[in-house]
Amino acid sequence: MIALQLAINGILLGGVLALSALGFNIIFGVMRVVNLAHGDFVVLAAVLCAYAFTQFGINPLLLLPVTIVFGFVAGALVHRFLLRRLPREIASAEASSLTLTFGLSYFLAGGGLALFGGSFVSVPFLTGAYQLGPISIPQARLLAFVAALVLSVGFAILLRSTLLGRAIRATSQHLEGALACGIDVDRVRTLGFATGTAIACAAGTLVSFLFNVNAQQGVLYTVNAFAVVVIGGLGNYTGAVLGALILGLTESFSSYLLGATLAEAAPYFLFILVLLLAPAGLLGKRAA
Amino acid sequence: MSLLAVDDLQAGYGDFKALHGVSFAVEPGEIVCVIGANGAGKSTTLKSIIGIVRPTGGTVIFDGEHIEGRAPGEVVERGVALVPEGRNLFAGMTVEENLMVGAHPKRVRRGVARRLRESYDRFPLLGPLRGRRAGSLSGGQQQIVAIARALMSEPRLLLMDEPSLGLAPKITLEIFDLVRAINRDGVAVVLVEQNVVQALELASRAYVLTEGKTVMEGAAATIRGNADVKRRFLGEVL
Repeated sequence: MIALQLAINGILLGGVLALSALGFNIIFGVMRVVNLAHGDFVVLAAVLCAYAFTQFGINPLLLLPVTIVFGFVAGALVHRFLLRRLPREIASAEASSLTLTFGLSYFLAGGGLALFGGSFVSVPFLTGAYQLGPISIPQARLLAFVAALVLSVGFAILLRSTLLGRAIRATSQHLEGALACGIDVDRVRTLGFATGTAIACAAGTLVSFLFNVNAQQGVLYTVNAFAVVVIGGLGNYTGAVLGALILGLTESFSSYLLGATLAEAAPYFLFILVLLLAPAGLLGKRAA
Repeated sequence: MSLLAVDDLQAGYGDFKALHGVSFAVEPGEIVCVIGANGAGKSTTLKSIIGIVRPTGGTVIFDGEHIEGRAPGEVVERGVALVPEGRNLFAGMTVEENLMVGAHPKRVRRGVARRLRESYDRFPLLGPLRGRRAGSLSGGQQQIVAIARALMSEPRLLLMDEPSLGLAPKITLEIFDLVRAINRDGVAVVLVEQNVVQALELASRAYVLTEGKTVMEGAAATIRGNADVKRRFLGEVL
């Protein structure tokens, strides 16, 4: 019975992980940039929501549109004025974008620390649980899962059915093919980075009522998103959902069996395991 | 006035210069063939015209306007389309989605449904495949998707880079028939091909590139009969 309880916890956690990873995946797809500041946007949004709740009593769900717009604008600015200025067509292009997002990560973490302090905050919101016989389903986790599901499906529909969404996917799948079709790849990258950051901030809003957060914790969420995406296969959206469920279940079971401290090693452990056994990810294509 | 006039085009990748002075012209409605050895700069020429590679010198005039150095989006908007070497399809997207991305230019965004219908009429093979992932198709089918995708932007000039690459001889003939049919509808074509004999039959005029320079030009039949071309590209022993 405890196993069922842990499985439910893990799956509910997987929803938010999948949403966060979707943002990470879009950015990697259009730019081939591993965004090391991804988790910092997640926790920044979470800290903002916690602040708004404790200071003004604002329900974090109502803040979702605000954090999404904030993330979109912040992401567009970061791409337009920082990433786009990196020299292209040089061998070290990937290294320089890694260095830039690494620096951005420190900047956001430091800025968050200066503005909001280093103490852990959380939103005491929906602290109850539904009882189904011996199984208890925490309300906050269920709500976060449902919200993550709705947002993920919503963004997936936008990626499928809008002109920009198709341009983002086309650019991800074949850069020169997209150029040949006349797509303004620079613009798509700006909007893709903006969308990815907006999704990170949406995930952060949900995180605010699930966990204690402080602005220094971004790395944890970056690693989670990176692990999820690597497990599923970089750029593979279906794979990322699978990866999120696997990571959610692993964290849930390992924190029960091994304790919370060791459970933090779960994404790294999965990372190494997948890279050793299926380097292209579970649903990734083998490199030709 | 020529539809396309390329004059002394120069381009490269980083420090490597691939084009040292390519010049050629395309008249409205004609098929021009560009031949040359591997590495002669044929693909780079097409990529420089469409704007994927940024030229470092020379001019490209399309329909009376300078387009050298312009972004691909602007060039496609004006009526040039590229069928890239190796097809460059969006493998994870369906055939129909690939075609829809082809209709990206503002000029053709309205009426995509009609253009899709026209595309399925012209390429009956694609209708039943519209929901299939492009990456799961055969080479010949993929080539047809690449051609159909380029036509979605309703170009006046179609640049085709090795459309027969990796295809069986029978499929190659079908592709060449398609090129002829597209041209009959008034679309001018620049054809870069390894199948020199067949390409020269299709084209009215031809240019020969060597080491990034135009070294010969003439009527396709004249080029076909040139001893040097025969020896170098047609493998004929004289």
